[in-house]
This record gives sequence, C-alpha cells and structure tokens, in this order.
Amino acid sequence: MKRTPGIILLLVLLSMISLNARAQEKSYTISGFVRETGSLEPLLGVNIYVSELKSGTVTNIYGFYSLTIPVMDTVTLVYSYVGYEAKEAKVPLNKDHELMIELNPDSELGEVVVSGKKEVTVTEQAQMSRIDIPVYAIKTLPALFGEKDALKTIQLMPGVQSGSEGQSGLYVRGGGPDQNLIILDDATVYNAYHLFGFFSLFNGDAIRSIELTKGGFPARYGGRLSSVIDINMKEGNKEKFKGEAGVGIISSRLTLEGPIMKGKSSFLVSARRTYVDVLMRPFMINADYKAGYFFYDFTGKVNYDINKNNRIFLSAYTGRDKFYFRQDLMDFESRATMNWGNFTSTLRWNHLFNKKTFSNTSFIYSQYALNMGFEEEFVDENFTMNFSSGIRDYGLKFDVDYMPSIRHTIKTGFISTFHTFTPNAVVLKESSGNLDYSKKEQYQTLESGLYVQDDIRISSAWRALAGIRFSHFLAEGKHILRPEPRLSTSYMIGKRSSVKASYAEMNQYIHLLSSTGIGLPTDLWVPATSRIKPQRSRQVAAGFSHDIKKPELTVSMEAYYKRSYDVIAYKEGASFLAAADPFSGQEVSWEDNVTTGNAESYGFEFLLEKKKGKFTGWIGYTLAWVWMEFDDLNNGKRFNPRYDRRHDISVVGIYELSENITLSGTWVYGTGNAISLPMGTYRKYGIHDQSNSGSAVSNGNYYGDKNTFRMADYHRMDLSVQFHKQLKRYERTWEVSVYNAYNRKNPFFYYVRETAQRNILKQVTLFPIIPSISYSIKF
Amino acid sequence: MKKTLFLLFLVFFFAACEKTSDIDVPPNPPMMAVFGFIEEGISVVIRLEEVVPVFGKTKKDPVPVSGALVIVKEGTNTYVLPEWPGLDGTYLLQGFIGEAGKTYHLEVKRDGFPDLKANCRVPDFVPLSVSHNYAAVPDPQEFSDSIRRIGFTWADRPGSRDFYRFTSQAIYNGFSQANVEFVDQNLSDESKDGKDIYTGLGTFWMENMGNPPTDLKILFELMVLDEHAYKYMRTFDAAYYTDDNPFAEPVIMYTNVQGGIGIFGGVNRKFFNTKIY
Repeated sequence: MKRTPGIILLLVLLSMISLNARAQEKSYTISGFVRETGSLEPLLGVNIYVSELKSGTVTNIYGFYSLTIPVMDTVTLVYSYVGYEAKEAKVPLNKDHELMIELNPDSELGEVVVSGKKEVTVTEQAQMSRIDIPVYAIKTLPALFGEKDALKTIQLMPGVQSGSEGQSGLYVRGGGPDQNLIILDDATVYNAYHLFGFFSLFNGDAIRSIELTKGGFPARYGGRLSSVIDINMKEGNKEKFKGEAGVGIISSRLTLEGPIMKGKSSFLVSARRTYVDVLMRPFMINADYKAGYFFYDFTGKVNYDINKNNRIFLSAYTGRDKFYFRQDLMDFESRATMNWGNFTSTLRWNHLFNKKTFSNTSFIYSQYALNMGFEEEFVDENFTMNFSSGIRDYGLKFDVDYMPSIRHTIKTGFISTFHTFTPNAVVLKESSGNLDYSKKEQYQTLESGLYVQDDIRISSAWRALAGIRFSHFLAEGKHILRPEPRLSTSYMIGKRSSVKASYAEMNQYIHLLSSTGIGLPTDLWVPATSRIKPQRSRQVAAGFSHDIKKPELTVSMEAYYKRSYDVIAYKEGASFLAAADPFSGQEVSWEDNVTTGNAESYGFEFLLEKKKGKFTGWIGYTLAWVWMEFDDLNNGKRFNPRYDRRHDISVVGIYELSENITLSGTWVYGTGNAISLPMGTYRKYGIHDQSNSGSAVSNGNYYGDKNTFRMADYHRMDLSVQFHKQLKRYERTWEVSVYNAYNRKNPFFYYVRETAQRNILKQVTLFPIIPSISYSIKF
Repeated sequence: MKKTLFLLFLVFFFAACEKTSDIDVPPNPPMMAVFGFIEEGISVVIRLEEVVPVFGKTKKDPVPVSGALVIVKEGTNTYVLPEWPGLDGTYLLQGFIGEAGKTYHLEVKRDGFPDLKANCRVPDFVPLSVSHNYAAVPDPQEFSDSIRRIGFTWADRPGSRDFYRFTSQAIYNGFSQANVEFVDQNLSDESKDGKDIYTGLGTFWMENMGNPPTDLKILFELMVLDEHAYKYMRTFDAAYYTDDNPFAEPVIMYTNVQGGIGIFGGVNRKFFNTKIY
C-alpha cells in the first residue's frame, strides 16, 4: 500500500511523457463552449464524439471542450446531452477551429436518434462511483410538504442512505454526514439543512447540476472521506428575462434571471421563505407570548464575458433558520432566539490560455454560524446570555484543464483554505454586576491541496483516470502532509459493456461533533488537533456497466470495501450539552468528550437507470455492512453504527403521460436502524471508597452489546401528479402529491414508557400520509 | 372563511403529524449479575443480582439472587462461599481474605440461570510515594466559598500494564469534609509506562462560614486495579454520572463474566495523608 502513491505518480509522469511524444504528430485543435439555446447557459458533461476516431470528450463544468485531433480531411463531431437534441458538425481539419455550439432542449425528453453515431456513455467513462443527479427529477419527484429537495433525491441513489424519517442527512458507503463534502459553486457548505434536517438548503430552481461521487475520487477533490456532492448554480439567461415562482403549503419561492448586457452578462436571483410563523400568528393574538419559526434562502449570481478568453462570475448564497420566543408580562419580559445559517460567496475567473488550456481561479468565502440568545428583564434587573459557534473559511482555488490530445485530459491545480473554528463563544451578563462572564474558544488552521490527474485513453477499450493529491494541514504550529493516490480504470468488453476498478485514499482534517448524526444546528465543526488526529480512508471498488440498446437502459453494479481510520465518536456517557463536568465544575474540552477508532464498510450496489423516453427513472439496491471499532466504545468490541443498513432499495419513476400531465412516484425500503435498547435492569455495585462511604451501588440498565436492537424496517411510497398548462404569458403547474401514500407508520425514534404495571417500548412516527398541493408558474 | 378554514387545517395538520405505537420486544433469557472485588487484606464478598427484563409482562424491581452455589478457586485451594444470613444475595466466607499477586477463579451455579465463570488477579501495590501540587483559586463567580485545586503524582512501575483509580478528600476546620472532584478517577499507564502518572487538578469547595478555613488536610486514596476492574469502573462512573441524562450516549457496561454480566476484579489500595496548612 505504501508504494501506491509512487506508482500512481509514475503513471501520471509516464502518461505526460507519452503525450509529449504524441504532441509531435501534426494535429489540429477544435475547441469551444457548448451552451443551451435561448438561455446561453453553459452545459457541462456534454458528450462530444468524434465518429472517425470512435472517441471523444466531455465539456467541463463551464461548458468548455477541446479536442486535438491528428490531421485528416474532415471530422464529424456529435454533441449529445440527455434532455437535449443532439447536434452534428462536419469540420474540415485544415486548421484549428473554435466551435460555439448551442443545443436545443428536447421538449419531450424523447429518444435522441443520430443514426450511425454514438455518444460517450457511463459505461465508457473511466471514473466510477459517480452519479449525475438529474435536476429535472428533483423538480418532478414528490416531496415532503411539496418542498423539492436536492439532497433527498440523492438519498434515492444506491450507496446513499437517509438517517431517520424525513431527514436530509446523507450516509454514503458507511460514512457519516460529516464525511460528505458539499460544494456550492466551489464554496463548502457546512450545514446543508433547514429545520433540524427535514429540508435541505438547495431548492431545484437555481441549480444547474449536481454530481455525486462516492468512490474512485478524482484527485481534484479532497477533504472528506465518503463523498463529494458538487452543486453548480445556474448562471442566468443571457438572452431573455425569465422567471419561476411557486406557492406551497409551507413556503413560497421566486427565481428571476435575465440579461444585464444581452449575450454578455446575466444575473440570477432565487429566494424562498417558509411562512409557518405567519400562519400561526392569528392564533397567538391574545396570548401573552409570541413564538415562531421560519427559514429562508437567497441565491444570487452574476456573470460577465469580458472577452472570448475571460469570464467572471460572482455567486452568493445565504440562508437562515430562526426560532423566536417572546413573553411580556406586567413586570417581567423574556426573549429567546435561536438562529443558524450559511453564507457562501465565490468570485470566479475563467481564463483561456490557449485552445487547449482552460483555467479557473476562485476566491471563496464560506461561513456557518449558530447563535442562541436569551434575555430576561424583571423590574429594572436584566440577565443576558448569548452562545454562538461556527466556522469561517477564506479560500483560494486554482484549476487548470489541459487537453493536449484526444487521448489525454489533464487537470491540475491547488486549493488553500484558511479556517477559523469557533466551537463555542459564551457571554453571560447581569445588570447588577454580579455576573459578567465571557469565553471564546477559537482555532485557526490552514488546509491545502495540490493535485494532478490525467484522464487517459490508453486504447480504444481501456481508459484510466490516474492522479495524486498532496494534502496539507497546518494546526497548532504543526504540519501534516499526506499523499493521496487515486486511480480509476475501465475496460470495454465489446461495444456496450465495461468492467471498472478504482482505488482512492482520502484525508479529512476537520471533524463534526454530532451526537445524533441528523444534522442538528448544534453540531460543531472542529479541526484535527494534536490529540484528535485527522481521519483517513482507503477505498477499493470494482464494477460492471452495461448499456442496453432497447429499451435504452444502463445497468451498473459496484462492490466496494472501505477502511476508515481515526474516525471520531462521542464517548459513552458523553453529552453534547456538556461544556463543564457537572461534578468538578471544571471546563471540559470537546476533545475530552470524543474518542477515535476505525470503521470498516463493504457492500454491493446495483443501479438500473432509464434516462430517456417518456418513462424515466431508476431502481437502486444496496447491500451493505458497516462496522466500527473503538477502544473506548462497546468495551472495545466492534459494533454496527446506528446507520448500518443491510438492505436499501429505491424505485423511482417519472412518466410523461401527455404534454400536460406528468406522473411520478418513489418507493423506498431500508432495514431498520441499529440502536441500543435497555434489555434488563439491575442493581450494580462499584468499588467502595472514601468518597462514596462504602455504598457504591446504583440501579442501571443492561443494554447488551451496542446497537444490537433493530428498529422496524422503513418503507414508504410517495406519489405525485403535475398538471402543466401553457397560458398566454406563462406556463402554470399544479402539483398534487402524497407523501407516505399507504400511511406506513415508520419509526422516527423509540422511547420507554413506564407505567405502574409494565414498561412499554413506544415508537414515535412523525409523518403519516401527508397530501400537499402546490402551484407554480414559469415565464 | 375559506382562508380561515385552510389555516385551521394547517394547524391541526401539523399537530396531528406525530403518532406513537407499541413495539413488541422479544423476551430476554434469565440472567444474573455478579459483583466481586477481591482486595488485598479484605474478606472476599460476592454479590449476586437478578437482571430483570425491562419489557416483561409485569414490572419487577431488581432483586438479589439467593440460594446459589458460589465457588472461588485460588491455586489448589477451593472455597465455597455461603450466603450470609440476613443479607440475600451476599456470599461471604469468614477468614477468606484476598492476597496480592494471586489469581482467583469464580464459578456460580443457580437453578434457572446460566452458570457464571470469571477470573481476576489482585495486583501488587507499587507506588511508594505520592506528591501533590496545590493551589487556591480566586473565582469572582463563587460568592463566599473558597475553591481549591489539588493534583497528585506518582511513579508508574515500568514493564507492566498498570491501572489506577483514586479518590481524595479534604478535611478542614477539624471536622468538615469535602470530596475532591476529578474529571476522570481512572487512569492507566498506556503510553506512560514507567513514567509519572498525574491525576490532573481536582477541585473542592470549602465553606467559609464567616472565617477562612483552617487546618486543611488532604487524604488521597490510591487503588491499583486489575484490567477488568479498571474497565468496569470506567463504565460504572460514566453510567453513574449520565444515567438520567437523555442527551448522553448510553453506556455499555464492561463485564468479564461469562454467562452473565457484572464484574469479578482485583483491587489493592493505600491511603496517603497530606497536611496543607
């Protein structure tokens, strides 16, 4: 294993030497951007297939592509992309060409037929364990209270599990929610959830693309062990003013986009706010208190084409959740608030050095903060308490895509992020002067990564994505430098099947202290320290993909094995509320509350996907095991974590019944969560000593081994129908959906209810059958 | 009107979301818990307790287990411990005293329960001396009482895994007592073999009662445990401090008892007396 980084580095260097040799051959370059007709929105991942060479490339996230082709008379390029009409271009290869391509959205998501041509399919890609989440599915599939949710759509993919009923938290291949890197326009989003995890930050209106990577990570990604969710926002229509608006049961949303300078510059703004607090207000008119909750999101983006070689983008996201409570009595007043949210902003500069070399430079700001405040006034005395925690990042990222020949796509770059962690800051004040206390715990660290990777077409059948990343972390004056080799390879068997394999090492230098794993705002981000080491993992995966011609389906199967080291967990008996030891009164650092151990996960994933036609959807199945082993937990014996799920199934279907009606449905099944349940109660004795006067006895519960009890299995069906109608000025859509259509009582949590006669284990179900209705327009 | 009805619907809708239902839990087989700390110079006492199912048909309080056959073997010696009259579930043989450096084997038989087996060793007591560092801490938040802090250090025995537990008490004004509270009362020499072991600063409060306290003495109780007793006491303490806290992670109690739960461990202890002023 120790030789792996060196071997991969050697492979990358050899490939560069070979491409240098090939560069000596006479060739011409065809490059340009692929955009959507009408909006000029760049399209990423568009397949560009060179018929004569039976090879091709794909556009990067800015829609750029470059093909350097050995001299021949004419080449035929086929541009194809799911949901768009394919386009063909015959290009005489007598000089370099710049081809700006616009693809028309395919109104019926119909079959793309370009006779005799072929597009690059999932089967042919070297990278494995990567799924493009269809944005149209996010907007079409039924959702809780009708709130469209990108992360919940990701949960429907194999290898990804949800935590509890209705939660947006993601558990990918045995990793916890903290091990997912969620990136929005290059900025890390630290808490991607609203309302304690029931909704995610990302509503589909402003999203251009979502890419989920579970393994075989390209070297350009780093910093988390389990997955990367790369989300890119739309840029805004450069030709026409457009908008979308929707009214739902709990929230409304509005998205506007349009040109600032036609064809050169555009903007996009998108906002959403819940109004449960507003709806509740009439019921509290006569109460002596006021209470409420709401959340909002705001997304904005502008871009400007300086010239054909330079473009800049400025994007920002802000969102907050807020609880408030206020009580006014005669001479007593109290106020309590709790709010949390993210703010991210990215300034990006695209620069074309030449026809083969594309670069992007990003200046990134990201912040997550939780604030809790409490204030009491009694006559002329007042007491104030404020608690806050959070993380703030300043980052610089530079990426270069270099495409020297049709056989190589080289990406290299670096990222450096300056983190400021504030696990807790407390201020306590009393107007009498008896109390005036403040404390702030803060850490500053620098996290960097330098990478190079090459997507190599070794032969017409064999491809490899080889790369290496060097990650660096500076904390408490100590440097940690770790190489992270990455390799994915695929081999075509015939025209429609391929076998794939991958290996990836990852390091994670920041930890999330989470007692529940469901994405509570109280979860704290903390850095690796001299006591708590960085987490690291090694993952191998092997897979098989097959494209079925009729009906057009893709089948993929993957098996994986992942070993993670130095993962953290709360110690037994530790509480996330404990800031001080209750007996000694001494302050307890978060490092005292956690322990480190190792995790092992392995499994098998199956995905059958239909991306084209009137009926689209997928069936996903995961068979998985997760084990954890900590010296300080479960007496050193290995155990299944709560989210170990043996079987996980999702069936997703979207059917265009007619031009005006879209039907969709999902069915999910998952093995019940593993929990520790008291099995027995007994009197237990400890060693008598001088402090307990020889009476070290207490009643206690016997749990058996950790997490040996399984909650009831989870399954649920959601259904939705959308009625579209094109009116004179806009298209309107009524959506009627049913969450939990057959009213399954799924477990949210268990508790023990004590009665005089017996104890009863009670299951709490959160969401019975929930119908919802929403109305949206598009203009 | 329609709007009002819609609002009412929403409110009831949210309130009606949460539902509870009963879950059947399969019955647990009968189980005994055994507690025995064999200590240098102290009579061997074994306690047996029944582990009562939490989800039984009727609720039962935990009860001691009487009528068991309790045997402790050491080398070629076999001791049968009778149940002590008047103390149900307590088994004790007069004159059977624990000795340092010896290994003991426990066997328990009782109709209706699985047989229990466990082993332990009474460790030698090695630390010859204990030093301390003491500090009075001014704290404006603490009104009239005085906060004091004290920590203790001793030398670990090199070449062996050693496990320690400690307590400390302050005695002042001739009669008042205060426990010294430490973050962790259990320490091992892991990664500190043969080096100094330090308790960290413990805290105690002395009541001023109008005058500054006088005549302060500290009693330090240091125990050397075998690994089983050490691991058990770590979980015992964690469970004791957090059993009633619904936000705390559940504690899985350590056991070295085959066929049941509980502890059969070895202990050796000494007291060190220090006069501060």
